[in-house]
Amino acid sequence: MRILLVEDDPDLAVWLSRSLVQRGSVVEWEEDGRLAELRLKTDTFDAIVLDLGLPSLDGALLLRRLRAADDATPTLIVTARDDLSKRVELLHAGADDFLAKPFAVEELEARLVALVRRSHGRARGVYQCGTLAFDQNAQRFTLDSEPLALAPREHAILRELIQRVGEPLTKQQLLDRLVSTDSDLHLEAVEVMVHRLRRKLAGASVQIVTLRGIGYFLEAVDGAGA
Amino acid sequence: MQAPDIVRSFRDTARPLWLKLALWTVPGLVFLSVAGLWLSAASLHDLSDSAYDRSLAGAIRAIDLNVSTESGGVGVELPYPLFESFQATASGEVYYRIATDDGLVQIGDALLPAPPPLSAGEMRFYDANYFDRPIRVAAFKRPLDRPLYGAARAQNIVIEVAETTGSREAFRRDLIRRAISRDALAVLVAAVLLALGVRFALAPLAALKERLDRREPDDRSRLDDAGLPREVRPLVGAVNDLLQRHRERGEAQRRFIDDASHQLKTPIAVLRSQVDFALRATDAETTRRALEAMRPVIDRAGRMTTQLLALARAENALLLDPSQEAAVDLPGLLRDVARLHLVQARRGRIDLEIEVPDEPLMARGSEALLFEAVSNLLDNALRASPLDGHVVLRGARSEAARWLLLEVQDEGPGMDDCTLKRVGERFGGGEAASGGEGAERTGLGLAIVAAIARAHGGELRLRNRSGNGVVASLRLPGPA
Repeated sequence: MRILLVEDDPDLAVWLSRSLVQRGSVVEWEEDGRLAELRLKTDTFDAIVLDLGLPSLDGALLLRRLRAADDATPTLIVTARDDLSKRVELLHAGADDFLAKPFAVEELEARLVALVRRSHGRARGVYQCGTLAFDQNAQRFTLDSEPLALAPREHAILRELIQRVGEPLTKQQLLDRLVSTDSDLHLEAVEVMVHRLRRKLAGASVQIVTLRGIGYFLEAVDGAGA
Repeated sequence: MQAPDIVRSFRDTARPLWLKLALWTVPGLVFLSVAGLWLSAASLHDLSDSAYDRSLAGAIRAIDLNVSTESGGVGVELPYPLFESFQATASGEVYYRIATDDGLVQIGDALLPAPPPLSAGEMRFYDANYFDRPIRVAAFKRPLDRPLYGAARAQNIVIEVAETTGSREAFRRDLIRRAISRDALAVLVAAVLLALGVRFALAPLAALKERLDRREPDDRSRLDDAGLPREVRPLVGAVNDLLQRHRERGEAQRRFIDDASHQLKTPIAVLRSQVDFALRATDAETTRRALEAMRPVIDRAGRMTTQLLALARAENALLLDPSQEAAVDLPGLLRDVARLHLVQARRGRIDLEIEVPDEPLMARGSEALLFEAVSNLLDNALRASPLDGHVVLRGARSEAARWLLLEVQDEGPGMDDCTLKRVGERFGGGEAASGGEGAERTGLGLAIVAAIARAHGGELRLRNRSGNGVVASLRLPGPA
């Protein structure tokens, strides 16, 4: 993995770099937000580890500018400011993950690996959860490498779910995303289709979870692959 | 639009007290004395007239005594000495005329204005003009003893004496001038007395100010209100209450800093000894074990720092920055908190649920702080919850709608009564019981939630469920 570390504290940057290098990553370090922005214009990385409190260009602003410039490099925010509500705001602003200082390097690495794998899959148009995979170009699902036969509406719902693994969607949100193709759908119909999908996924390493008041999302049963 | 009013009222209240009192009382006094003068001016006029008129009457009587009709006509021997002294005292001109009412006899100044109709024996005083000079005239009419020059019946004789009014006007002006200066002096004295009285009455306040000025900045003892006017005592009482609250707050801060420094220094001391041990170790395995032992200590110190800062922020946030206060959509808040903890929950295969009413549920407060509070409660619940357990986030309105409730319910082991009672105290240990993994807990999470609840005018309550688990309930004041 080639990682850009944007962090203004030299001690933390040095030791973090060493730890990540020890684990087999290539780490480039920028301590200034503006310089990091310039660097990202000419260079590409697998992931960015971004501190929020930076001189000259604040981390949150840097992230917004990157996303505005269509740079989708997966970004993990690390900050000492553990304002939780700010976290939600940053996730909306395009952050892919979030770690509060102090953190364990193992945790950082695990999250970076997950981010990079997800983004590489997305770049190829492939989404994966457990052994369920969706090839966007072919518009086809495979389960344990076997093609999965789905009715068009089931396909549409499962597509929405696999493109947002771990991000719950309410019944209404699912319906809103289908309505352009299918205007005579009702909330009950969503339930029926989720029920059918569950039957088709029964026994597989992936399941559709329903949480009351929160919504539906796709989850790998053994906890891996999310 | 409001600002100028406030400025003006500040300016009003900043006026010295004596001036304020004087502005209220002096115009009243001035008005009263002017009205008094105006009323007494009329009676002064009458008074001076009756004094001066008496000498006019005396002159008429003197002339009357000297009127003789012996000759068959009218003869008058004028009392010149009397006239002279009269003229001297009146310091003006004196005129007279003696006439009969048939107009045949006229002695003296024939051009004096004709008297008003008089009845016999009547003496009348009136103002008139003589050659454009104001004069005061006394006129007297009486019947003669016998008819003159063979007339059928006796005529009446009319005697008039007049003097110019300069002297009596001067006398009157003098009286009024003296009355005015007396009143002005009275008002002035009243104002001075007022100022002196205020200054005297406020002297204890100045002494109080002296005492406050001389106070040490950290002296938080009560102010003595002995010798202060009764009106000022409530103020001193309020200042004392404020001091008391500061004292309590200062005490709380001191305890907090004591606790915090203990909690933060201990892990650093542990780390230091671990590093020393590792450096002196001769084989790699011992070094490695020492380093591994350091990791949980560091994690704990990190969490502790985070939590202590969160607590300090929670206790001061609304005080420091009231602008954080806004309407908070509670169901939305619960959903955001749930999403943020979804990964953690699913790691323990915990079913996270949200129960909210269909109607909107809005509270007033700081969204960031409430988020922090619910996050802490949810974090506790997730740690307490067994694998495959249920954790419910609930937003509700209490029956009487007086409170808005944010509840987090788990299926963990519950808490014993002693711990439930101490919930919300710093390092009260409530979470060690509910969380299970005691080593990972800081004992601050619930104190933070309690502080946030207090900052919003609400409270944190915990109760054991009848089955198992705990319901943590954050109660916020409902919409007014």
